[in-house]
Parts: sequence; C-alpha cells; structure tokens
Amino acid sequence: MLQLEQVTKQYSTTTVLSVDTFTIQDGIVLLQGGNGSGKTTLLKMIAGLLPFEGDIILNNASSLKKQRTAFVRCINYAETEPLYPGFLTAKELVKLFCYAKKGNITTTEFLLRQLHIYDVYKKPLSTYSSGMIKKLSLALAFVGNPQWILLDEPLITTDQNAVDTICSMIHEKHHKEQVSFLITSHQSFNSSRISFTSRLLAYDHTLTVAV
Amino acid sequence: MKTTLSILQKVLVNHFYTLNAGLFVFLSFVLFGLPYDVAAFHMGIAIMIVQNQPFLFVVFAVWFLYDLKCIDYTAKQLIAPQQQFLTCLQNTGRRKCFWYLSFVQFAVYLPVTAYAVFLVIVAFQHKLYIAIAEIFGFTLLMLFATSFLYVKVLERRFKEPGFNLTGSSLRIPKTLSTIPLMFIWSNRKQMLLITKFFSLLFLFIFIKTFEPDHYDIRPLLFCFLLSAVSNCTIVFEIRNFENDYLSICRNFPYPISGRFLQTAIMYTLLLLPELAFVWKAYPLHFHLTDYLQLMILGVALLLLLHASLLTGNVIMDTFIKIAFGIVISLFFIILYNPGILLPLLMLAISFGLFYSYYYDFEK
Repeated sequence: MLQLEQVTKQYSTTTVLSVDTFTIQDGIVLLQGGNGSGKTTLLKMIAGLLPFEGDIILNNASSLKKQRTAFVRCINYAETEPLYPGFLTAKELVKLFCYAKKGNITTTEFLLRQLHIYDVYKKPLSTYSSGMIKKLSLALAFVGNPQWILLDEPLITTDQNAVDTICSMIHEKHHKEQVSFLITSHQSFNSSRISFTSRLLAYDHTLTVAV
Repeated sequence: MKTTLSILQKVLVNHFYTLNAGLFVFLSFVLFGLPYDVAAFHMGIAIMIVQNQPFLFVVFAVWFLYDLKCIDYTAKQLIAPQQQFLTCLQNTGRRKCFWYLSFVQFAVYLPVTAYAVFLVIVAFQHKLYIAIAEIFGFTLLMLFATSFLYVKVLERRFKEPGFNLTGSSLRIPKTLSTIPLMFIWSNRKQMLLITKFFSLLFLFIFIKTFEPDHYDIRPLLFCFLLSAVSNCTIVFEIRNFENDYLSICRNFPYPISGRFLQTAIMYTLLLLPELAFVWKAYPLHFHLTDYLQLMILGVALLLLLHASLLTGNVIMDTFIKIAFGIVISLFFIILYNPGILLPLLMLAISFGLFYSYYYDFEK
C-alpha cells in the first residue's frame, strides 16, 4: 500500500497536485484523468524521479524521503515515451537494470521474447522503432523484485498482439508474485486477461477513488 | 537570400559558438590572458611558423583538427531530425546550396581564417611567398572542400547508412560511470579529441618550458587545474546527456554516496590522459607524494563543476562564468599552498551539493 502524506507538487507557481492524505491499496489500480491532471507527475514522484513537498510511505515501513534507497528498490517505473542512449544495445540496458535492481537477466530475456523484440536484443537502440523501445521499457519495469510497478500509458505505440501479452504479463506478475500495479491509460483494456481492483481519478489537482 | 543566411546564422553558426564557448574562452585565456607581452609573443610565434616549414605543417594539422570539429558539428546538424527543414536548401539549386553552406563553413571556420590572414600578413612582411601560397591554398581547400562535403551530406540525408564520423562504440562495460563517457566518445568525438589535444599541449608546453630553481608544486598544480578545466564543455555535455537519457536512473536504489562515487570514477576516467601525461613532469615538478594531491585536485574540480550544474537550469554561458570563477578562486588559494586540504575541501563541497541537489534539483 502506498500512502501519500501532505503531497504537493508545483511547477513554478502552478500547483499540479495537492493531496492531503490518500492511500493507494495494493492490487491492479487504474489511474485515470484528463491531460494535465497530474497522472504522469504522480507516477514520477512515486518512482523518485521528481522532487515534491510531503512524503510517500510504502507499506507503513519505508518513506521515500527518509529511506529512499529501500523505497525505490520496491518501485519500478516505465515511462510514457522512454528515451535511452541510442548507442547502447538492449542487452547492455538489461544488464544495467538487472545490476541496479538485482534482477535476473534470463527472466527479462524471456519477457523480451514474449514481446517479440528478442531478435534485436544485441542491436543498438538507435535502430529500434518507438514501439520496440516502448516494449523494452515495459520489460525493464518488470526487472528485479518490485512491490509496485508503475506503468505510464503502457499501451501507446504497441500493436494489438503486444497489448494482450502486456495484459498477461501484468496478470501473471500480480497473481504469482503479488506485485501491485498503478497504470495510467487513455486506451481501454479490451482484454479478458486483466481486471482492475480499483480505479483512481486525478481531477482538480487531487486524487479520488472513482466509483 | 538575406533571410536564408540569417536563418543559417541563427540555426547553425550561433549554436556552434554557444556549444563551444568553453573551448573558445579557454583558448582566449591561454593565448591572451597570460602575463606577458601578448603582441610580441604572437608576432614571435607567427614569424616562427611562417619561417619554419615543419612548424607550419603542425599548424595545418591543428587547423585540420578544428575543421574536423566543424564538419562533425555541421554534418550532424544537417541530418538532425529537428533541422529537416534545411533540406529545402536543395531546392535553390546545387550551386546556390553550395554557396549557402560555404557561408556556414566560413562562419564556423572564422577563427582559423582570421589567424591565417594574420600569418599571411606576417609572411608578406618577411617576403615568404611560398608560405603565403601554402596558407592561402590550405585555407581555401578547407573552406571549399568542406562546403562541398556539406552539400553531399544534405543530398544523402535520407540515404543509408548516412554520414558518420563517429565510428563504432568501444567495447567496455556499460555502467553509470562509463555510459556518459561512451556518449562523448560516440557523439562528441571531435570535441573530446580537440579538448584533449589542447589540454595535453598546454601541459607539454609548461613541462618543457618551465624550469623551477627550487621544488614547488604550486605552478604545476595551477597548470594542471587549467588543463582539467578545459574539460568543462565535456562536463556540460555529460550533465545534459544524464538529464535527457539517464533520468530514469534516479529510480535505481543507489545511495547518494554511491552515485557520487560513480561520478568520481567517471571523471577519473575522463582525466586519465592528463593524469598519465603529467608523469613527464616527474621528478622535476612534483614528488611522488604530491601525485595524489594533483589527481584529487583534477577530479574534484570536475566534480565541483558537475555539482554546480545540479543546482539549477544552468546554461553554457553561466556555466563558463562559474568555471572561470572557481579557477580564479582556486588560483589564489593555491598560492597559500594548502596542500591536500584544498582538494579534500573541494570534494566535500561537491558531495554537499550532490547531497542537497541530486534529488531536489528543482529547489
């Protein structure tokens, strides 16, 4: 469970998010909201990529501000439009992530096979299409032993086959390893392989549970 | 035509000088900022160049290196996605396109052309007509052959494999310490080579020309400081690269001390050529026990520059001023011979800035 406490995020003088206290329960959670409602900002804050006022606590145990290393070890994140150095290969990037997140390279390679990008595993990322880069970033979000995986628009630029595979990956990871997901998406998940345990709404600079 | 030239000036030329401001400031400092009679010094050098054929060819080699830097920059800009609109230059016809790109080459190559004109005047005063012809011919060749190359790059814009001066990547372990250096090697190779060339040349000239009458580490410390600070544009590029491509690594569970250590390793690797070359000054300019001080000073300076970039959205112009301010301050501190305390203090300040700003980069 993720607890947001007195969380405020401002860009210059504009408040993007202001949450007094809010708890995100474990499960597969869909975060919805219009453009500019602060969905990506919230995910980046939880992943430790953006500074903010307040604190986020994981399972009443580790605080992002006070036990940062322990906190981010349990949080993985896949960006909407990932950007990686073009001169690196996917193999090198997988090694880097597996080393940092104490992950298993073989498991990640298996995910890349499922997503049909393993045949370009040793090629520089500059030769990848945006869809392939997106798939790679999703596979990297599954590296290690996270308690939460944050997926920002996981379905954009991916083909229909990949959508089903991604849904299966999420379902499997949640049911086998009890990993929770916080997912933002403007696309609808037309797949029988995934069911959301709750839905959140980012609206008017704050978070609410969608009915 | 005036509008086209104005666009080329803004898009390519101005950006080139902004990008390389650090190098030009460093060169200006070395060539005009040192305490000697500047006019007599440069006149003496110019006479030596035009009278001595091997020396003239060394100068041509340096100019060629600078031309490679211009080619690398302009060619990359011409094929960059954001400059796609420049393909419309081809619609003006091949000859006109050539003249437009000659304007770009003339503008970015201007520092060399200006110095070539100075050498021609000196050679003319000494009636060295062969040297005049050589300088004239070489400069024209660099200007027009390079412009022709740009036309070719523009024409081949959408053809595979494209124009590539960078070569393939080095096969070294890819860690957070080496990936930014790989970026510099694969995407800013000319910047790296030219920086290292001038940095080592500066050290070489100091070691060969300065003969101390008694042991004093301070002149070498200051010289090494200048040599290290010439890498400031690389530090700037590394920081931009980290911001653009490695921001996701903030999600890696590394403690801040680990990240600081990774950055220190990166800058030690970057300074390896200088750290190896400085052994030419042993034992005349430094003792074995002082090498550690020299090494930490160089790495700590780059760490301090890197940390200063974490404090906000620092643009190149501001960064150059920061680097200049730091070097001047360090010069006065070195005069008091603080020993190993100075580099250790610099490391402590860098770590303090890292600790405060690495995650809170918006404050």
